[in-house]
Amino acid sequence: MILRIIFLLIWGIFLGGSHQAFAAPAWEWQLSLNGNAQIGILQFPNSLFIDHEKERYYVVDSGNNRLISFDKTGKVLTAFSANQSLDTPVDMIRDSSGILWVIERGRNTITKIDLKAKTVNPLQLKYQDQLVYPGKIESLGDKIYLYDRSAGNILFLNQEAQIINSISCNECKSGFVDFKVTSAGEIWALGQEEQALYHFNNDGNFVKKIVLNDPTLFPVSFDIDTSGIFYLLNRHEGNIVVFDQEGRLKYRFLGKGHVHGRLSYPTEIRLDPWGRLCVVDEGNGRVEIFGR
Amino acid sequence: MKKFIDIVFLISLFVFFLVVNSQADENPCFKCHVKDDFEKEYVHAPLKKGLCTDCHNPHVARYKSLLQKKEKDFCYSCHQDKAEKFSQGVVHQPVIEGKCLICHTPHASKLKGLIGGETIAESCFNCHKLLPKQYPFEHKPFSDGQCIKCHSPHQSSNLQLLTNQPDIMCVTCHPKNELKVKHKNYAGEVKLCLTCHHPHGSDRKFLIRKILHQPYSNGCQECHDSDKQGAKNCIRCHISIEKKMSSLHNHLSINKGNSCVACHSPHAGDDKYLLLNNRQENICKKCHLITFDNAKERIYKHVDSGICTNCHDVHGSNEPAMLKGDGIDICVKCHKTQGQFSHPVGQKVRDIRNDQKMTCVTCHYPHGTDYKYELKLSGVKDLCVQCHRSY
Repeated sequence: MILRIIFLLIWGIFLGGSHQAFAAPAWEWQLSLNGNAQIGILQFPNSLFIDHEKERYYVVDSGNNRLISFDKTGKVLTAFSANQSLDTPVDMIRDSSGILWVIERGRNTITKIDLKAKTVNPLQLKYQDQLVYPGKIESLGDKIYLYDRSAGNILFLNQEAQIINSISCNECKSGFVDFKVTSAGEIWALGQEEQALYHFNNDGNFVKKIVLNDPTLFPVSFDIDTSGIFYLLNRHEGNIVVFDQEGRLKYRFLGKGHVHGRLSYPTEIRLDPWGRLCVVDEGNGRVEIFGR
Repeated sequence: MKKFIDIVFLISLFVFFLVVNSQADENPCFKCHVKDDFEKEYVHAPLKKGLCTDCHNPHVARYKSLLQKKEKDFCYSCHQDKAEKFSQGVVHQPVIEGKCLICHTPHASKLKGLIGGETIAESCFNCHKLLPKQYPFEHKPFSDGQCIKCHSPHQSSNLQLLTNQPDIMCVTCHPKNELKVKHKNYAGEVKLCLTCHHPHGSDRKFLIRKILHQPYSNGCQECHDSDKQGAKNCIRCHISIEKKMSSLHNHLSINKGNSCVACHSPHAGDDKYLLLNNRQENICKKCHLITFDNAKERIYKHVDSGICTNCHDVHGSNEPAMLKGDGIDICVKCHKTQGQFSHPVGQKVRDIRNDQKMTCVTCHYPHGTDYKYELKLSGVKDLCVQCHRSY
């Protein structure tokens, strides 16, 4: 009996003291979303939308003015350009009613595309008498969230594209640069110069700020996993920097380059519902997907 | 008799020690090196104690001036407490290079901190040769040669090695209430002083910068009106910039509210672009300091012109890194012949690693790398075999 207790104690100490060795396995490159012989290569892809319901990826192929859908194995499904009318699309969502909302930088619009009705309706928005410059878009249920690059705000829209609320960062010099909406409707937003993440509840009220402890960071995008770990995309260094719930640096991985598993001017990071980490790699013209 | 001999012996011994001791006081170095040259108001502690050999080997040494270690290593061997601090934030170039003696003299100086030269300003102007030394109207600390009143000579957490944020520094001598009286029409608290005033001097009274923004010289209302806000306010006149804001990558998102004033002064400047911070490079550093710092540490670097706009379209571009072209066009502007004889590049030549077009920046990283010609990997083998695997 005593021997058994000693044995268990030793294992307990071993496991507890060396949790690093039993940390989650390293991320490994699994697949890429890129073109094929039929649709050609991607040029300067800028963002990714993941349709949980249909189990599809949509890549915004900005340089080719089109949207490309893939199944979750990376197989190309369709390439869509709205009859070649899209002008520098940079982000998109598919809302709960199946409408596509595309941000077109060339026209400075949020463009509503109803595939069933075959209509394309570009909308220029104004908020507080100022023209909105849409940068990123997210949705949850019937709510649409839009990042205004000029004001650095996040706007809440209904499905008629009317702005009903906004959140901003009073202390941020340049406002936010990216945001994510959790499945519970909470909002996390990234302040680039401040190197901090700002947490808001689903009414848009400020909850807390988490300062990221890494002076070498030039973050352009981020995501949060279910355990509250933050993944920050460092565009200039082409790497991903991981922080714990308190903003303490955990580890970095990847780096600049052109082979699979290396990044060149990445623009966006997203965790997919299948536990994989997706990075939109603009310079290499693909979306790299990592799993572990 | 024996007693007498003992006394003589003791006296001789005393005289011997007296002579020896007096010789020890006389530093043998000063037999050749003029002692007066080492006697000024401020003397370096080892020299004061006559410990020349703490730094110099009198016979033979690896380094110039018979020094036993590299300049930086020597300084930090005593000033250890400074080493960590001097590697943080914005660091003065001589400190980065470990060239302490560019500013300090190692033996004696008439200036505190063993600063070389006759004045602090003289020491600064030895390197900062492009800075005007005189203006018709000068800021008092500048005309007094007190550069260190505003600049921290080793390192700082502020650009241009300022001791604090400019607006905070200004109010230490110019109280807020005084500023308000002098800027009657300024809405709210007076701030952003350097957007109008040059901190060294100017041709204009009150140190107003040389070139005025046309609407500013006409009055405030042209821009400061309730319905004129944000970047749109600037684009009303600077129409060509609007198209840039529709580019895939652009700088619209910097400085919420109005991105233009993150780089340009809306009131007055020293060049026709009314750039803030005097030099373009200093503006870019405000956000991209890491890029500059990384480049500094590289062994092989592109010639530093300090003019980022030679390659980057800083308002907006459809290319990554806001390049002015596709990574070939920009390079062949200067490297004219490379476009013809180098590794094939262009639309028809694909990089097998990502199926993208081969350009100069496929292999070179112009800001700097540790490989010759600013190659991304060693050109002897590693870079080539990324694609030419059978070699």
